[in-house]
Amino acid sequence: MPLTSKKLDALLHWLTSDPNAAGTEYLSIQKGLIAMFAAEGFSDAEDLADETINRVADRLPEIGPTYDGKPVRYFRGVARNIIFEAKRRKEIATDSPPERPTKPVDVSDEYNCLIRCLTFLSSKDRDLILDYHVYEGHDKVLNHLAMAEENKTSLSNLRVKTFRIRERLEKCVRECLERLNKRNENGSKEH
Amino acid sequence: MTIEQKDQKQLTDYLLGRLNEAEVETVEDRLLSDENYSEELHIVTNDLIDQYANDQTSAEDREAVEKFIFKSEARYKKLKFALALKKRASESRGHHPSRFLRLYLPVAASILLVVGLGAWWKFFNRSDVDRGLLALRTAYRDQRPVDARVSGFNYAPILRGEERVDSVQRDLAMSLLTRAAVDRPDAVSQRALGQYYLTQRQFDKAVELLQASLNSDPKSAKTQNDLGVALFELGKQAEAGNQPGVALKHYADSQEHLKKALELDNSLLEARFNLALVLEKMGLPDAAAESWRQYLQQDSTSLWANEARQNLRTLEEKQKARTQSNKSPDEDFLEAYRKRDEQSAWRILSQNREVVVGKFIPTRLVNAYLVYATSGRKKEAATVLDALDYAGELEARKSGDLYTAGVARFYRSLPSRHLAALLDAYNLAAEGYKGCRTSGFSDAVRVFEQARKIFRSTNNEIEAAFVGYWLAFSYRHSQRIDEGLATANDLRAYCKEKNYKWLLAQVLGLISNIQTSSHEESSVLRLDREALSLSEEVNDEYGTQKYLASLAGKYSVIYNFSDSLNYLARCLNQSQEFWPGDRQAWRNYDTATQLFNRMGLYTAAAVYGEEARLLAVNKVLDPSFIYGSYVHLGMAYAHLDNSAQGIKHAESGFQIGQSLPDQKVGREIMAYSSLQLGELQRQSKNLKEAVDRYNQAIEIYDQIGFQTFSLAAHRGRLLTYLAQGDDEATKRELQIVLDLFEEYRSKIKEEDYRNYFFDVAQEIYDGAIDFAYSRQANKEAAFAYSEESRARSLFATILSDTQPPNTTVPKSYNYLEIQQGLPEKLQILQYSVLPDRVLIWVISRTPQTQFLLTEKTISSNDLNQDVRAYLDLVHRPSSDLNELRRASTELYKILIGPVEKDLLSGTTLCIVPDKILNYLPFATLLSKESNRYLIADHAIILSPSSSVFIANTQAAEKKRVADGEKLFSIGNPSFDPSLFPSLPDLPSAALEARSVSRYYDRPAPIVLTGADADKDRVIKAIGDADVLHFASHYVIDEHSPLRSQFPLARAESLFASDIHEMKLSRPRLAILSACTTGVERYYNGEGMVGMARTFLGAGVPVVVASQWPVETVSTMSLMTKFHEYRTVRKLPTVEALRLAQTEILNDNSNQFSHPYYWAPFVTIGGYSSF
Repeated sequence: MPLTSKKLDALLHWLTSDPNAAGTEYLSIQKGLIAMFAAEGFSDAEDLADETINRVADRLPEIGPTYDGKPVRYFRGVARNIIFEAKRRKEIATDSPPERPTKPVDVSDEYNCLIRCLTFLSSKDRDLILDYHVYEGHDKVLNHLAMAEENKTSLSNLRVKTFRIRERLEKCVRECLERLNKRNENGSKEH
Repeated sequence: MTIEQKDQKQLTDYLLGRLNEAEVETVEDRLLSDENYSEELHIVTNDLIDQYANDQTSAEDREAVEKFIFKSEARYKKLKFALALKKRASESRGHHPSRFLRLYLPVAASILLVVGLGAWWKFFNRSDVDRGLLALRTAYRDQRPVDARVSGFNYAPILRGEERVDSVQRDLAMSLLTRAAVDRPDAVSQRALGQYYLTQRQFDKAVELLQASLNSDPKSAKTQNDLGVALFELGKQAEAGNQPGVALKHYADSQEHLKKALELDNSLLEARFNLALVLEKMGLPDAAAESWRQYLQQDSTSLWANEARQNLRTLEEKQKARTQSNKSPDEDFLEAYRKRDEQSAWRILSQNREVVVGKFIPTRLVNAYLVYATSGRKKEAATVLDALDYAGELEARKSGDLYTAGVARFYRSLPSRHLAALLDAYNLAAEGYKGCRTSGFSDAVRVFEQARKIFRSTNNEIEAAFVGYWLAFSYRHSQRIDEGLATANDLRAYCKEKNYKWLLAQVLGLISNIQTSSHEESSVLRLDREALSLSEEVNDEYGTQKYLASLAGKYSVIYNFSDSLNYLARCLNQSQEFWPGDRQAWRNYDTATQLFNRMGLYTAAAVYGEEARLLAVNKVLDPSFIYGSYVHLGMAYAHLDNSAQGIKHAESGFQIGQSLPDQKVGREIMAYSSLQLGELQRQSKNLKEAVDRYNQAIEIYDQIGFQTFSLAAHRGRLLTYLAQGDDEATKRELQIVLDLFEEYRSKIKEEDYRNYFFDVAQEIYDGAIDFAYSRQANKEAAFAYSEESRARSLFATILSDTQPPNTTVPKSYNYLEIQQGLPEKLQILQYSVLPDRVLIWVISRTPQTQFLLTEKTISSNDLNQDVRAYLDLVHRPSSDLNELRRASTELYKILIGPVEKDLLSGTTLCIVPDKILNYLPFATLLSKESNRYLIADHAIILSPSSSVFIANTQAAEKKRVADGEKLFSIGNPSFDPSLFPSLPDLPSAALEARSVSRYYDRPAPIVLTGADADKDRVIKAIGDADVLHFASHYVIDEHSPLRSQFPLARAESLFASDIHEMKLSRPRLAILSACTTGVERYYNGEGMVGMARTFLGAGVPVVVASQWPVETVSTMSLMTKFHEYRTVRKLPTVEALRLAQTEILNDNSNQFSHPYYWAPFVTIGGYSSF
């Protein structure tokens, strides 16, 4: 459930009294929460991040006046509780790791979707993302250095740039796969 | 906030569950407040997934990645995406040229047009090296990788805390430099990769590469410097690992390369800087300070210069403290006594023990007391006497030494009428000490005798003993050896009885020195060790260094360089903490000079020699010290391409001897100088002058009856005669030298020491063999020399039961005795590897091949190279069989070919290998003509000498048993994995142990596996069985073969030393079915010393052991067949092994046809019918 504007205002004010900085802080926390949940392997990291923020906003009238410490700490505590609860949903393996696949993984669907999604990228981004992932091991390091030199940028900027392209691409592929699955499900019903 | 390498690492650890709770909190707090950081978490996650998709996850990380990354379906989806992306990216690579080529192609093409393809390659490759080095220097711009200066690296501080290395640049450097070294392994790329390994603190690899680089380009000052750095760092590692001797050797090697670097380029600041560092580590503070000063003359402004200045300051402060300390130790002691400052008093007593320079506190106190008492200053006299009491009480309490307390008691009860006489005695003794300081020993004898007389006449027994020590010392240096020894022996008993520990240490050290003249090496070392131990017990810091240096010198005389280096390093380290005075410091440096001369490390010898010389001529001023410096330094210079200076120095030594007023002392100096001059002249090929000098030395030594260096003189003269081709003189001299060797053999009781000594002495035996063969055409004499030089210690041990106690080391059998002892159908092939030929004797009972000698012309270097290359192929199961067969036929041609016609069909061969051939699996040698391995036609036994073979064969014959054999079989003991983390469990070894036991049902076998195989049970079982079978791991101790071990259950081990101490009267066969049980450490002379030899020495006449690490499945199969053939078919051990090996080799599946599988085991020892 989205936050009411009243709760959002209260939350932003709690984060910092500087109204210009509050929005940035809020976004940082949101991204950090997503990263935390993603790191735990949750597919719905964004939803869980929202839920965390909602819970904090709900409890703000009780804790706000007396809480002594950095707000991010409180967010972290709530996020940890949510991780604990979510793990009970059994989505996450907590005992032993899943078995390693014994035969080559079939990625034909992913591949087809990727081909399709690559067409949505600009040719420059397409070349960049593919070039970036061409090599392995030591040659990869060499290649990235050469790419950074060619693009007149630093290695770290190149790294972030390709990550962002990859995120877009991965999202596109995910959606493509969902559509494909839906079609397959509908198709099987017809039989 | 920017993201740094350490952030990426932290996030990786976070993702892989490697952080503790507090660290997790820190990461998560930052995730919630730093967008870049939270974005980086996603990137790092992708990196980990990509690595996994590319199969690039390290083994170490794989488990964590699978557990923490792939813990949800979402992550599997990401993995599939990564795989798809990888596939698409790889496909896209085909559409455009490699990025590297895209970058370099335009430049390369333009160069190609101008200079052609070869130069293009060079440019391309050089570019990798240059870029790699640039990346490497950039990676370490904020933190120095090692303390020393690597060539071309800018200044960076030494950081002890958090790492500040740019890992991307470092990894880039690794990629570029590795590729360059692989693509074009030349001096430049090897040096560059060597630098990379230096920065990674992988110093062994760095040394390997830098040495390879120097082989191609020995004139590179920078490479010499970098190799010096690698060796310096290796030294520091060894020091940290408590291996002071190893460290010192590395430092000496390092210094040699740094000096070379400066010879090549005097302006190379890196080498100048590093040289100062290494000199400090070598215990040469004055030389180090001088080196820093020289550095600062060349560079006074850089940040490196600041460091140099700081180091120099520290050294100068130490030098200053050294000169200021203890100017009046007795006053310091009295002060401490007045304050009852026990700690200071004990320190002053401990640090002032050098009698000859008047620093011994009790003597100083008594002297002061006598002066006060005889001049009526009663009060002062009483105070001094009280202080003496205090010193005695303190010494007795702190160390249990009753000497000073005894002196104090004597003076307490001394009638005043004796005061004047005793003061006279003291004055006489002082005169004696002066004589000792100036090599006036004959005069010293006179005054010490008078002083002792006075002490005795006043019933001052204790100080009569004290001065008696100095008298004995002076007797020894006046060549009155017998009187010296008798006096010292009397004192030894007296000091022991009275518990005068410090004085006893001096006496023992003196007896040790006197005994060097009669080559009582074992006793010499034991006495010095005892003296050292007593010095440590009484906290005598000067004495401790004195005996450490003495032991270093004496171990080096018997060529035990490893122990010698250890003692020397300990000594030099202690001298850094406590300056022992100029005389002892001289001894420390002079010992180092001699040791490094013997080791052939002449640059190190020269630097110590120079320090010793400076001390001798500027501070000590004792002629004996000055001449010693000249002679030893001369030896070093002569080997450093400066023979003229070397000879000049040694002649200076001789002249000092000539001009000494004390002729007896002078003659000893002249003899020793002559000996060294002989060595130098021989080295300079002035053979006539060399013989003259050796003659002079031998003559003087004979006249003065002092024989410490007579072996060296005779050895030198023998080598000169050999070089002159004077056969008659050679023959005569050879006998003298070999007789002296036999004398040493009997007097060096410890087997280890004997092995070291004869390892080096082998050069003489080889010369003798060559002489008898090539100059005298006497194959019997050549064989006798060969046999006399081999495995004499083992032979003595095997025969020890049959010899009366305390007999000398038994002589080897002659060829007739060997022939008579040979079983039927057995031939001996004995090899002697000489510098330019291999001699092969064939001995058998068959008339036509009774005693033959054949020569194969090949240099030992070529043979070593061929055998090493072949072993490399045999030891690798993946090596190419065709290549292996080619190499094998070549070796067959060299080693078997010349005697092939003399080998009788179906005979068993006892092979007595020499040097590198000890490592060779003769069974695998392949005849080109018959295309058959040697094992196909002959069963093979290895033995370190023919005499040992005969002795073991006879011992085996005595161990024949009428009834069935009792087996003790041990398999896969449950060793403690925390003690041996690299050893895997060996379930198949347990199976092997059980499976072979099936063939020995009566009497019932003892089988111990797993947790049952503890030490008590194993030791008991070994003594109760006829046949021993070990199927387990075997862990070699490279430094000490007696510490090699079979790991057992309950965290115990069966060490070689355990077997060594056992007398195994029952076991007649031991099968050591583990890795490398037959070869460990090779000594010239004694041969291969390892577990197999230990069993032979303990009385087991036949051993089956391995020559390289064995594979478990083929070994189990081989061993099962072997035991079956022994027991079911009743074949002799050697034949059963041959049959099992040939069956595995010829198996249709070809699974184990590579010699790696079928050939590691060999029968060692004697022939047995069982």
